[in-house]
Amino acid sequence: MKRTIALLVSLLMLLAVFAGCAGGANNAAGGSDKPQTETSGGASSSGSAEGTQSTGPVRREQLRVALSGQPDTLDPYASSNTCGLIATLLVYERLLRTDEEGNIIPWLATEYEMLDDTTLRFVLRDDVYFHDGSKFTAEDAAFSLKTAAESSFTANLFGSIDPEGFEIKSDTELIVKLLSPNAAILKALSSNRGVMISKNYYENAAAEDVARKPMGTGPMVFEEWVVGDHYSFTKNENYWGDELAYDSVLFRFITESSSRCIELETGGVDIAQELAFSDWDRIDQNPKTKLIKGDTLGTRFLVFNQNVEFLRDYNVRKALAYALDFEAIVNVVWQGNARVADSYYSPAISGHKAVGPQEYNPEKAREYLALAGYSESNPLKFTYYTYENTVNITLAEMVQQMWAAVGIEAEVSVTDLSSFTTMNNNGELTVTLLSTTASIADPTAALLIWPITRTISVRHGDQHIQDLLDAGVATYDQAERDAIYGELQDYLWEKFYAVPVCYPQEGYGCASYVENLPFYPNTCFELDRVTFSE
Amino acid sequence: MLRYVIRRLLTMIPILLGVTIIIFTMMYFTPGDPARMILGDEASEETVQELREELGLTGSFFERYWDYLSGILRGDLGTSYTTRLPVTEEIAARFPVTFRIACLVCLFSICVGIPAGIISAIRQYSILDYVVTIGAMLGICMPNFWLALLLILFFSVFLGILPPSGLYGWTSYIMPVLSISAATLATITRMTRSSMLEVIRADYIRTARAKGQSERLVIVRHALKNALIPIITVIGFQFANGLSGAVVNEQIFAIPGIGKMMVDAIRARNYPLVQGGTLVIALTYSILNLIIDLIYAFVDPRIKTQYARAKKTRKHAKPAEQLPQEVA
Repeated sequence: MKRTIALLVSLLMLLAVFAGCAGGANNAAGGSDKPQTETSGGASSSGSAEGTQSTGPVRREQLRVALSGQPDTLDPYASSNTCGLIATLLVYERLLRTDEEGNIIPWLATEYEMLDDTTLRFVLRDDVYFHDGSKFTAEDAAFSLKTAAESSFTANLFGSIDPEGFEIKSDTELIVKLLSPNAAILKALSSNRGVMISKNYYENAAAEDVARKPMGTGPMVFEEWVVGDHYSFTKNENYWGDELAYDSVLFRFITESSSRCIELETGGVDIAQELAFSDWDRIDQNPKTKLIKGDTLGTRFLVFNQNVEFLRDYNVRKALAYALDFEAIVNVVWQGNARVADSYYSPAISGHKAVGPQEYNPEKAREYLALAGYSESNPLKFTYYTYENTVNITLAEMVQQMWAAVGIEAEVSVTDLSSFTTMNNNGELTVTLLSTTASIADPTAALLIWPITRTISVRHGDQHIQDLLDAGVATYDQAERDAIYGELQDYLWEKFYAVPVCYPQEGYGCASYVENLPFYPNTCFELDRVTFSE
Repeated sequence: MLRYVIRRLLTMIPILLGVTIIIFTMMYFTPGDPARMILGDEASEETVQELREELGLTGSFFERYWDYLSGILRGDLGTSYTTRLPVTEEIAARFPVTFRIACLVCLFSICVGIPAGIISAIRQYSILDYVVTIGAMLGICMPNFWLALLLILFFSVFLGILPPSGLYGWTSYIMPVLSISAATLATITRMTRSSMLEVIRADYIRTARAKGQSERLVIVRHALKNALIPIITVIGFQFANGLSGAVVNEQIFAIPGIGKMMVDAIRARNYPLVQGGTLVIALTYSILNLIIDLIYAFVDPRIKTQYARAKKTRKHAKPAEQLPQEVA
């Protein structure tokens, strides 16, 4: 009897082990009732991650994308959520955009020029219509830019636009005045944040419709939004431009990264956003999928709140930084999928100057602590705040141990994001990890945490930083801008209000037959260029 | 019986009122600023303050509670801070999904758990009993998210016969129902087994056998019926749990249910959605409790008699002076 029971239990456990260890991808047909794609003939893809061109147009009925979450709104000026922006870029369009090499090209505007430092002129296309049939005119463009200037989500990019400074010369000609020179304005206008909206729709439709039923000039028309599950779009039959390689697009909200990854592997979706590091190798090695990864325009910092007395001591800040081995942190916390930061913004952004990286030297840390008046009998004690997140918690544990090794007692307090955000904006945090991801490859977007008016927990109050930021944005000469931002980075390194940690990478996956999906460093991919090889 | 039902429905009112007070107070004192969460770190303090006023976050505790309560009395549970949709609409979009899954979980667990529990009880100490007992223990101990991932790996990745996420077609329900059912099934099995073990040793069961009744009739008509009360209680409780949403499984299977909605709402400090969702869940629990009590009456005539006796006792109670006097 006992032997029989032992045998049964062993068999059960073995079964569990085999099921749990069932590796990689035996991708099968799937067999679900989900919307299916149809293919038309075409050459097969080489499957490279850089997205090589296929040899002939291949169309599919539907592009299926797995997003990492559901945005609250599809109003482009009421959110910065990447999941929403990816979808809105199919519905709305910009005056300018960038080509595959990153050069600014005309789009809804056929011509653009800077008449002087604070005046722009646009000539618009005459054949563009919104999805409700109304024509896109200079009035809509002016309204869109005014909205962008006034929205808290885009004011950092468009705040220099004078909300009353538009001159509508005709339906297709618009003059835009800036309140002050802004060297980044053209980049901002070509980014995913400066889309054209319908003045009539925004002013007359219900707020709920503006949020839930986007209406633009783009190649895709909003179809439906099933709360918590998906939203979908269909082809705009009256689109002015080239038709896309697919007739509809379905965005599914799959919060769990492993579920997104499995959907991609099993053919349930064509593209999966934001994959966890642990899934990268599996997607990369699977012949039916491709991993698209790269350096983002983001930077992670450890900031030292200058509202907190002990952190105003330069020696304390240096001690805290010297005690940390950033190489080890990047290898463990980001699993090697990041680069140790050598400055305050990504090297991919103009004007970057390598002022670091921060050296790991526990002995120097102890010397700086002694200079600050701390010792074994009088150790430095404080609370390190962070919020729930695998990266944050792992980092917190590592820095706590590294600080403990030099005699600093840091208590880690993990809270939820909402409480953390409130504390951050109330200036209650002491030392914490903050992150920025620039929406455009320009220092103005990358240095978002540094303006003197920001309420988050740096609160440096240093007017010189603000002066350099103002000078940098107002200068159109690139060499001069680079010099100003170089000086700013030197100054930030000297003052040490924050220590840069790393430039993180991000990765997303697609099926091997998806082409023309490069890595977008601002993490917001543009799907209108996607094509298929089969 | 009707009076009993009406009385129970009326007692729900103070219960639900208590729930609104508790949940409102908890959310009021929980740190976090919904306006800042919506607008992000880059918004100025003035913009955030404007949004706080727009959302009604600047009044006193009593002002805000009164606004909330008066809204409920008008059938308005408020508007979600993040999506600006009515809370009723948000819940209505998700509740049917959760309800459907909870029903399937319950149905599956009843259809498998009760027979398994009966067999385990009548074949106590047999191999079958041990298998069922071990299976039940595994079901209770196994984290259901781990089981969910195992099922996905096996059926979706390895075999490729079931969709890994979403609710598209009947096949999509199989894995979520299986993974959520594990604990429910195990609990029902064990409760059925222990309840049956108590009953099958009773004298009336021996009598029924002695009278020549077939074993099937003895078990089904006599033993099971008497063992049903605690089983029904467990089923009701598990069903109510299911209606609150299986948060982790909803996340893994990308199911737009109530559980995930509540967790996201709490994280975002979306007070109307949290309060509305909690109220709906509390109402569901209350109604389920009532239904279970009524089922008791249906299953067990003694309980039905008790309900009726309570009514008769009040109706025919004699005044004190008419009670028989003790003879000295």
